[in-house]
Amino acid sequence: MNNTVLNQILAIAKKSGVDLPPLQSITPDTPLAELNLDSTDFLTIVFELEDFFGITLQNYEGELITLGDLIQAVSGRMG
Amino acid sequence: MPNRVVITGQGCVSTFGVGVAPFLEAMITGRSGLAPFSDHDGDISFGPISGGPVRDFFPEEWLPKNVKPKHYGLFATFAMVAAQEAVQGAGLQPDDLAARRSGILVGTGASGQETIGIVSRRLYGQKIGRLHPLSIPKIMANSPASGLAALLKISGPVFTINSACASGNHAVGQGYTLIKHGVLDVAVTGGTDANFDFGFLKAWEGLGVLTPDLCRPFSKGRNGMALSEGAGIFVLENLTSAQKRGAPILAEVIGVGYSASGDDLTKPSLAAVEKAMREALDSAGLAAHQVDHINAHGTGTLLNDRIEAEGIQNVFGAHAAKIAISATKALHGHAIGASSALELIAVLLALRTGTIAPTLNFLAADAGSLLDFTPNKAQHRSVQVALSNAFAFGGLNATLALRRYEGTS
Repeated sequence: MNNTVLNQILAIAKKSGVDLPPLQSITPDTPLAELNLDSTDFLTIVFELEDFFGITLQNYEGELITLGDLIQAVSGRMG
Repeated sequence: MPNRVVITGQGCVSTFGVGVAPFLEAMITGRSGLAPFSDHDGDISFGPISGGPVRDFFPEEWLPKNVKPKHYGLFATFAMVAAQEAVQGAGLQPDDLAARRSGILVGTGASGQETIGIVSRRLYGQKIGRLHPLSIPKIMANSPASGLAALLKISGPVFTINSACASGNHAVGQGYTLIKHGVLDVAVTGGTDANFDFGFLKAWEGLGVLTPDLCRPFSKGRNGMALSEGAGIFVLENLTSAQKRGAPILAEVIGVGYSASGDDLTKPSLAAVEKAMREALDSAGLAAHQVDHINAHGTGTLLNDRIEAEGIQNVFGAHAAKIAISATKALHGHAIGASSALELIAVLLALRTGTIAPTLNFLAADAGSLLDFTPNKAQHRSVQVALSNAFAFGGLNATLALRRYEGTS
């Protein structure tokens, strides 16, 4: 499941035109700040993840530091 | 001592496409960008009207790779693409702008109408309660100004002016004033609007001012305005700094006049129309007989054109008949907040080359009018001083005064 979420995040980011670092350097420990996401990229990714997985992420501001945090938040909502 | 203010760059997106070149070609040859336009949403139809939407606009082809047009509304991306052209034409780089006292003033009348349409259809039509988180950033009226700040790395005064159809002139007028009084050295300014959202079009239809056939400003038989969209953006600069860096100088801005009707929301006021022109003359230190050319607001609606013509006659007296008046909305359409900015490009053409763009579809003047409306075909004459009028719904008016720049740059 985590890989599915990770792949979906990366696919959305790519579709949004985010200039991601090399894929081999991206791990769950990668800080979101190092993914070259601006605030609007992040909002778009969250919105599209919610749409894709049929979930709602709430009160996440300041809580999601790493890519792993985001993956966990999505996976947690999916039960 | 107030600073002299010059225009060193211009850029546009219009119904003629991206860039000043196709726009000027249309002004010179008298080619209208307006065509029959209709639309429908289910059983509800709109039009046909004479309209000038921007077609085949792909901002990612014009903007740097680090700018994400999808994060902005259409009206913001129009402004960003136009600004890119203006700044490049002025010979400036973002680093140059960041190093100077630079500001941004963008006029808009409609703001993010197409996003309001998307939100409304999703919420009220499809009954989907979750809306895209970028809806607000795309709708907000200040997003073109914010987008330009991000594009040009400007961190000084950046704000939006909304005065409907006069937004562009109000913004340029404020840019001029801030440079004149030393607050800024460079102002990136103009107007933008994207107007072809179905709901917004239906609202215009409800107002009953759109022509179903041809926009004929100041002509007998006129029956309404033709809606369009786009952006016109300019680089205004302190003359001294423009000369120092050898910038191309397109014209000098020498004054601005503002007025408000202070009464009726949609009916133009003769007193306010006259006041805007008189204030522009006073502000520029001009006598009425010094004006060679006026780009009129000239919407093609019955009342606006009658009041504006009467105002020009009253302000300029016997000299009025000698002024080459041009109403270019029959060419590029009424782009609301972008209109007066697009018209400023036609004014700069007149000041630089003496080519006065025509008032298209002109049949005959109203009874008793002695004014020269440059009917149907461009004229060529010496233009030293020009005014550009913008008179908005809501009774908010702004007239710019400009002079041909004779010095070396």
